Amino acid sequence: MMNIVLKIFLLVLLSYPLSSHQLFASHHSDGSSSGSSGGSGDSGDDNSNPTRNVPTNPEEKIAPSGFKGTSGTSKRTYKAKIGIIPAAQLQLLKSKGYVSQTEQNQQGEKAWSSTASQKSQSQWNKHSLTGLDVAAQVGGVSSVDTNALPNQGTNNSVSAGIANAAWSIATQQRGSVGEAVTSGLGITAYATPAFTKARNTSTLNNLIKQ
Amino acid sequence: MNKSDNFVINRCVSFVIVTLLLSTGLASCGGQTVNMKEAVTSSVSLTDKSLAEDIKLASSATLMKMKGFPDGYIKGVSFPDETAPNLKSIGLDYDGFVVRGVNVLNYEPSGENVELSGLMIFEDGLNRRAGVRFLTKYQVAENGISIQHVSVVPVYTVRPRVEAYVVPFDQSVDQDTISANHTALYGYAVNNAVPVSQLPVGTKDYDVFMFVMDRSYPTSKTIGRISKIKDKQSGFEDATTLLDYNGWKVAVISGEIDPQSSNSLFAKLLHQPGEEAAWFARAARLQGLFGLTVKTQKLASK
Repeated sequence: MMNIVLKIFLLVLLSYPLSSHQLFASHHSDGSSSGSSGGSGDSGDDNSNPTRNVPTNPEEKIAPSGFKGTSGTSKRTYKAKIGIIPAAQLQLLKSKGYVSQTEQNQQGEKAWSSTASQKSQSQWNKHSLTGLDVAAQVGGVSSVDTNALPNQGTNNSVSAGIANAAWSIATQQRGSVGEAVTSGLGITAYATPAFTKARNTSTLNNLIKQ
Repeated sequence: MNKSDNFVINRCVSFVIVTLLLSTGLASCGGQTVNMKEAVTSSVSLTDKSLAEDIKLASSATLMKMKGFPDGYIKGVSFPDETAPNLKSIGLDYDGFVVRGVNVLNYEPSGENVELSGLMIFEDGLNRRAGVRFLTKYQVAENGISIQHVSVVPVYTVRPRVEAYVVPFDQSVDQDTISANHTALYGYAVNNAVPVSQLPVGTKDYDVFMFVMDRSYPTSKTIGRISKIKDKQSGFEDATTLLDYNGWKVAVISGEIDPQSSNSLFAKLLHQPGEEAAWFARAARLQGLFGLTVKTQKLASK
């Protein structure tokens, strides 16, 4: 018994580098360079092949020709102080119209075209400040849906607190992001007659990652 | 069966055991990573009619709790504070971050008791992203749910998105002020960036700001390099300033270049996952490649 345990231990030691090498090797075969073509945008978000860019020639000690690092009075002093993002800064950025500025992405020269700023603009609209409330956070409902509120006059709604609609979110939008997030919002959810039943419907299977 | 056969069998059995042990070990390490792009694409809105009501209630309640709302904000949900002891430590209560929906990873009803786990990806107006994975246990009642336990852990992508901006250096700008927080620095870079093709002829001082737009794990590493070679990770690091704003990381390459020259110059951002990823997935990867001269702009996009 002792002999077998000893063998297993030795084999672990011996096979460890082999196993790890094989793991890496299996990922190398891809060789594509989607990572290196990177840039802004969603290009690289893929966990499926995490090791294809194993460093081969990491750091160069000499600056490339055509580039001279800063020194003396030009030496930068950038320093991160806090990590929290003040909401007021978002307002400020919007008022400055930052979205109309250039934005580089993986399309190279196209990065600086107007389409980039248009993209940013639409992106901004999607998350516009007035929409940055908790209602939007739970799905984009931004106004009170009166039809979805419970009908207090019917028996079933009174007795069971059941709404006519499946789900409603009542919002009271306020002016600023901070206010909306911290205090300016009331959210109400209502269960439906199909509430319990819905838990086991087949539609759910479509929503679960297989 | 002779001794030689015994030895071979022994070796084979041992090797199988070792392989199994290694596989188990590899599978269990890391695990706080997510493909954010896919998660965003496949998320289901919490107002989607096809989503079961208890999932909506439980997910919304978890989200509201993360945002600091007290018990009682969602009618039909009982959510005592003691059921979610770790939520405050997540640090995701950022103003302006929104969730498009939920990715249901697991849903297990057992009588009236349900266990639900899922993903939520937070986004803001600047295109920053952060993700959490949650587990909620609750009991279904006639007109609502009673939450019994919620736990939330941040999740990270091993392939974060990167944005870069080339900004002419301005000696008069207060660097302390513009770099005090991530939003200010991002705003400065975006507001003052100039397309490479429109930069003036001649060698001048520039900052190349490279922003990692997905929140990174504390032990992950961001590397900023400048190089004349496109196809490798190699490059010069000594001109790079690294900044970390609570997980949103920035690499700034500062120096003199002539954007209109025929020089081959690329700015590179490498992301090296930390303990959030399995050990074998922690190799540094090139996540952003940006041409700094007119000549290399086209090359970077190929």
